[in-house]
Amino acid sequence: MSANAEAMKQRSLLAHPGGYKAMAIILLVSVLSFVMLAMDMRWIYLLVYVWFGVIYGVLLQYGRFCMASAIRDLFAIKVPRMAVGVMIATALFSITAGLVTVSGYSTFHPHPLGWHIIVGGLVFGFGMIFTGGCASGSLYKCGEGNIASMLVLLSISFSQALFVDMGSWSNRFAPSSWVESATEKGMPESLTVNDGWFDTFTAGYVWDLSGSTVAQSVASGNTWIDVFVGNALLGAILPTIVLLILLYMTTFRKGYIRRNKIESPAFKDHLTGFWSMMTASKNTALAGLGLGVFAGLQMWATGALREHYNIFNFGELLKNMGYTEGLSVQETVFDPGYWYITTQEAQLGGWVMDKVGMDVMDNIFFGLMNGIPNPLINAPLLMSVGIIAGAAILALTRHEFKWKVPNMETAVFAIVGGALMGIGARLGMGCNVGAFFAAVTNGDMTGWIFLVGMLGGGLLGVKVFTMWVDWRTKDDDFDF
Amino acid sequence: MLLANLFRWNTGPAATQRERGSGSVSEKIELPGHGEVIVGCRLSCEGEGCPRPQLRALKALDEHERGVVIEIVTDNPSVMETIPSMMDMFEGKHLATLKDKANWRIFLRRSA
Repeated sequence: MSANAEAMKQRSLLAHPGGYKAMAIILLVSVLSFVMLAMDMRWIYLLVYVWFGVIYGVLLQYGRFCMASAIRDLFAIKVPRMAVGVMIATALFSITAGLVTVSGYSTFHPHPLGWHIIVGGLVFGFGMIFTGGCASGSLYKCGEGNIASMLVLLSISFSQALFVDMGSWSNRFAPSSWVESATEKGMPESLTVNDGWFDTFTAGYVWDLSGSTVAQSVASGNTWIDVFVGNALLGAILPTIVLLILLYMTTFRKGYIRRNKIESPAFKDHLTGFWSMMTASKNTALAGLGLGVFAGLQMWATGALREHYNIFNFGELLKNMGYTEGLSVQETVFDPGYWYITTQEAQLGGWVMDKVGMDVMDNIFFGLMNGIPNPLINAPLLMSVGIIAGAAILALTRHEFKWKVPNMETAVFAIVGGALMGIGARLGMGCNVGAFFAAVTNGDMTGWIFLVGMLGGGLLGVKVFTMWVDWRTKDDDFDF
Repeated sequence: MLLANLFRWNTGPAATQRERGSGSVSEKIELPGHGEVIVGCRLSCEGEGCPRPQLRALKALDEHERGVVIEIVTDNPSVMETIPSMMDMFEGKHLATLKDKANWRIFLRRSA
């Protein structure tokens, strides 16, 4: 074989065992997709979630994209590259989400504004420092063979399910005003909305709040102005630019000027430096671009399918297809129509708890809103599986897949940190994706409030983690 | 051996580190663009999640004199990308990163 042909074979996807495994995963997902479509074309609705998940997984692994890393790297080691990638993704998704909104296919609903947003962000942000990854980051790291990240997912799943299904013992922590307000809502008795802290919190506090998007506040009468000037420009792009400038001024500028030996930096030097910061990590920036584009495309695809099947929620389609087990009392399931992470993980935890005999449908979260469908037909959950598969495909191809068994400390951090992330996500009505990324890009300013909470929790988490590492290593023969 | 790792509390104890090749060394290695260098310290960070390897790398840079080459062995792709970026902010220079099966060997040197 000639040297060129040999070199080309080495560069080929199939040149190594990892490549074969990656192709096997693609083949498996493809075959299962065809089988499902052959059984019933309506499974296309679920498969859209799956394949977008695969794409997200590839992009996340390619760019090492993780919001925990963005916050942690800023505070612990003053590296802004991941934060820059997140901002790029945010700005771009706001445009694609805007296009989806003006087309009438948006599936987004703003979150109610209240103190719970920032508290949820704080708890979530603190937890993710110890787990080593945010909600989406932990998913893609599972695809790299990281067992600690798998522990994080399990912990997030069950902590959420237990948190939303808290029993009567937690009533003492709910203000009486919440209980009264929850009772007045006239919900079905089976849901026991005035029993259990989280139910009372939801029905007696959150439901009394309101939320809106910037577009709804602008209300100029022209949808394009409302969405692109309101949601995209004012709600996402301008704050993003301000944050990027702050990142440059506080973390990147000093090193850039020193490296380039610029004695008296002029404005154009700062412009060049700013661009250097934006492109310092090309794969992260590209991943951010890709995520922004595909997140918008998913919203469009799901919205178009809802219109095609004349449904409001996937639960209706499941019922039409003969699958009624696990639906909520409203015959709905969790079906955001866009990238989301934590609620479907809670559903997994709830489904397992149901199978072992616990009654988890007597609350608002599962019983009224999201249901606990079989994981095999839980569309957002299969999107998360797709993320893991997509990350595995790329990791295997790049020789980056390795089973990593955590030591006891890492395992404990994964479980405890994951539990905090789960609780924070439910309080804040989402995670770094659902409560921040999807929110700000659709003009919901509560997303920025959640980010502030995440930053605060992340800063505290970094300080505690650093103290822990210093303490654990102080007695070593070499101190590092 | 993999499962035994689960029952180690942390990677701190010196014996564990020595088992994994961490510690003071004096090994020659050829690095692209830098020729032959002598590695003075190796940190084995396999299995460690962020930000532990990054914090350990910073501490190692701080503890060693100017010019000493420090090698960090990691199987974490995020660590592999972050540590070189860190050198812009701290008194270190990233010399090279070599791939070894599923591990990366990152070579740093304190520059000031």
